[in-house]
Amino acid sequence: MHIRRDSPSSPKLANEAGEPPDPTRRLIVMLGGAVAAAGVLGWRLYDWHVQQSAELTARGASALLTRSEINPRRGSIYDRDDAVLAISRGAVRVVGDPLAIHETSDSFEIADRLSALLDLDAASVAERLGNPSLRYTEIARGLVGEPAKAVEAAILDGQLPGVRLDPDRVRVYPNRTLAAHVVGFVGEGTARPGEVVGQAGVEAWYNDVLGGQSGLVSSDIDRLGRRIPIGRYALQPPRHGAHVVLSIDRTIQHIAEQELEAAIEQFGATAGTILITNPRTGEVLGLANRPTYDPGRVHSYREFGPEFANRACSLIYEPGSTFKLITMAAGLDIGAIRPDTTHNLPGTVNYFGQEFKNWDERTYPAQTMVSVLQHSSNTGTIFVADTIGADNFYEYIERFGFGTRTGVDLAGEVPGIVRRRGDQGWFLPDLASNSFGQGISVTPLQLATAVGAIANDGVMMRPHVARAVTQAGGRRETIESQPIRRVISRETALTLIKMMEAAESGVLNNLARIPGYRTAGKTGTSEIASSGRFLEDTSIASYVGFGPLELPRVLALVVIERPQEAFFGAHVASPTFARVMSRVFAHLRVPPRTGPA
Amino acid sequence: MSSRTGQWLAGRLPNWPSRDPYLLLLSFVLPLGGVVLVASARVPVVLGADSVFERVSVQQMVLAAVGVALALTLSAVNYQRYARIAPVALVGMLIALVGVLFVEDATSLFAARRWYRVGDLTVQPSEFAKVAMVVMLAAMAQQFGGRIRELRVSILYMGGVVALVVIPIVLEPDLGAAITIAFVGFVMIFAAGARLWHLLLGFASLVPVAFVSVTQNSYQRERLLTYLSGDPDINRTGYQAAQAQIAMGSGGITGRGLGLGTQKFRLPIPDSDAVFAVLGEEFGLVGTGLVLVLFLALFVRGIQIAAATEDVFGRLLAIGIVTQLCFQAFVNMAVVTGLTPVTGITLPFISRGGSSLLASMILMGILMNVARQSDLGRST
Repeated sequence: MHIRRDSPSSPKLANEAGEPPDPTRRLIVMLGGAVAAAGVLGWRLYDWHVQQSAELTARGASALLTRSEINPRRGSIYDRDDAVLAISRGAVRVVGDPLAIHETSDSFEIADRLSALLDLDAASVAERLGNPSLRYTEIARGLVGEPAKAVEAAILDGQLPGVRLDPDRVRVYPNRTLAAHVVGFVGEGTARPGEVVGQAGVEAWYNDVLGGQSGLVSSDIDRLGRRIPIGRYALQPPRHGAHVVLSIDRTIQHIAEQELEAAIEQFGATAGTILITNPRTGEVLGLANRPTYDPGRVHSYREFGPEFANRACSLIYEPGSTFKLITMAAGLDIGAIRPDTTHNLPGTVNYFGQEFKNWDERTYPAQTMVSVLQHSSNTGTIFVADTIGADNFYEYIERFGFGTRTGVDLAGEVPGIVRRRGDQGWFLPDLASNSFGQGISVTPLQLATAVGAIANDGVMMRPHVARAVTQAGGRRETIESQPIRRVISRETALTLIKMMEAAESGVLNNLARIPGYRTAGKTGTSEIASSGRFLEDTSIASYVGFGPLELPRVLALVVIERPQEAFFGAHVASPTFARVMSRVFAHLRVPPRTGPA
Repeated sequence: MSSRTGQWLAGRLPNWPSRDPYLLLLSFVLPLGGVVLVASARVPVVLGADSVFERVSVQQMVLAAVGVALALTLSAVNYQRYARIAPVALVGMLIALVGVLFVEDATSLFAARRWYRVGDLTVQPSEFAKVAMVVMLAAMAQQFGGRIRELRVSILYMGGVVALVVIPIVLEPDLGAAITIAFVGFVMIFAAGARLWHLLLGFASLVPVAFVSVTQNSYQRERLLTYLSGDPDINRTGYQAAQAQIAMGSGGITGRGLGLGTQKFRLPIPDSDAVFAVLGEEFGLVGTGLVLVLFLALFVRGIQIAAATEDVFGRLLAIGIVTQLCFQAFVNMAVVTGLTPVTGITLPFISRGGSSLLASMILMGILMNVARQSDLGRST
């Protein structure tokens, strides 16, 4: 380095206060300071760039990378003719950034505008938007149509700073309450944000099929959580859910709903169920319950009230006289009775200390088995049950599936209550009451399935509501009908059907009959047990029957709870059965019988 | 550096505007590096925007070209002229510094009042005040000559000038700039030949100023406490330090390559204070080491020029200029490498910012003229 030591003052540099001190030493000190500082910096650079490089690289890599799940698209639910019953549609969710709102505008003003657009409570919206410690708060979700457009327009117009729309999905049930208990509804899952989980019906039972599999995206993110475009990125796309095609026929479903509604109104009833199946396949063609709910508006219900119960398979009732078909089938199949077998029990019987009466308290001397069905004689079925004995009786009850779930593909099925000999709480008189459907609790679906075995030559089919699954790729897998077991012989079934038909034709003014068609069935009237005591003047009126008898392929069960205007199944349920069946026959183009009646 | 190579190079360069090969090289390389790094650091903004056209990067490019032209032009202007206008320039800058305190700017970060808005551009008066102060102190040292040994001259007059510049900057508040300016003033008074105990006295008078500044500004206190705790809280102010460290470490020896760094997506202001970390990630030790060496070379060259300059004005100009540029650079690097607490201070020539770049290039131009008139300039 070249430093001048001699400093002769040139004229222009002259000053009045003498020469300034020689700077050489101080320049050397400064130079030393700079070199030392550079040395420290250089050491630090070496330390970080070289010595700690591997560790810091790894730390950075793990800090950058995040994984997040991608929600799959949920499959749709169709009726048997591919009409949409449930579908997931794109929607928006309205999201606020309270901090941004706090910095740029007034949260109350924004809340007023938003609540006006979305018909929300302004105070609660203002509360959520007014917390500036948050960067995210959800105002509304699943928005489609006009409200979504209105909010979007307001955002574009600059009226809602700090509010944005995020993509969302919404489950839409275009037919509203139609088949609500079959279709079910969805709720929010807990596994990941935005997860949709079926909560009832097909939505719940086929949740894994409909739901698909979530995808995974792993990417490097910046400090605001946005993806770094030049960073690592791996996408495992979600597998979208498959579609479920139901055996439900929306026309038959509509008939069931309409007739059920009409019967409830006509008789001032509180609730009811109509179940329509194909006994040859076990397919459920229609399933209507009242009260019911709108699956698309589940969030607006305050609590899960009785409207959410699927009475067809989740609630139990005493089947009453419809159950006499089961007792009769058992007697015939064992060979203990024949259609012309007679009994001589009086209208009032004392069976092991308990008194049982016919509903009309009449005595029918030398009553045939056909007459037992025709007059719905309780003492007649006591005779049958007593003849075959408790062990045989309960074995047949078990074979008909009572006391166990049918295995229907609907969530929430219950097994019913059957007490057999030897069970706690079973006493000898129970054999008598069970023989005409009292002291035993079943689901409507169990009864329809069991009676379906009679209609299907003795083979009981497993009830099901789904008939196919269409994968997201388009491949359709048919769900085959499955027999549960042969319950009675073909001969027994045919004999019993003949007896039923004969009994029906013997009933005066039979409201269950359908002009032009041969059907067979049985009425039922059961009293309602409440806290162990039967309530007077209330009943569950029911009718189960099937047709056309040439080759039965429609079975209907009508259950009307607490009718006010009438009491007996024959008055309340029979006419509804007739209307339902004639409309279903017309819809299915079942030809009326030709020739003499 | 070998002065023989330098002379060989200088002999082959045109005589105008400057022929100091080291200063010329630095005047081109550093701003050019800035253009490249700012463009890379702005990638997150470009990717988030609708347009590929990135205003800040283009602005930096234009300002670099303007700056180089300005430096080359000023290298032809006799620096002795500045002695006369220095007091006027200083008073003008002081007015600007006080005036900026009254500017209401809702968009400014951290509630600091540091900028004037001129259309789309912002002008930071403190950057130009640095230039005025360096020239003024050099002129005063020239004027007072041997009287620098008097306490009245060294601390009251010259120290007073430093205080006049520093106090409004502390009030902005911009502690980083204030510290740099105070340090430069301190070094210039030292180099002018002030007595050491006078300097200690002057330094002691700064302590209450710094204390008041830190206690009055919560973010400064937080930064200091974060630094002193030694445990970078990744969610708060230690976040920047932690992200910078990851950037440097990920760069390794040769770096990920231009534009390929990912930490700029996580560093709070990658194109400004933390541009050195972006350099470290994308060019590794080679890049950061080179920039460190370039600033050290600038300082060494400045001292060489000072030693080869007869008159006190020119000598102190050279010292003040290189101290200003290199001290700020070293502090910026020390902040990024976690050696000192976080202060908002930019890397001269390289960080985004027009005022800083132009002020730095003005200083380079003046330095080139000093070099030209020194023995170094005349000897060839």
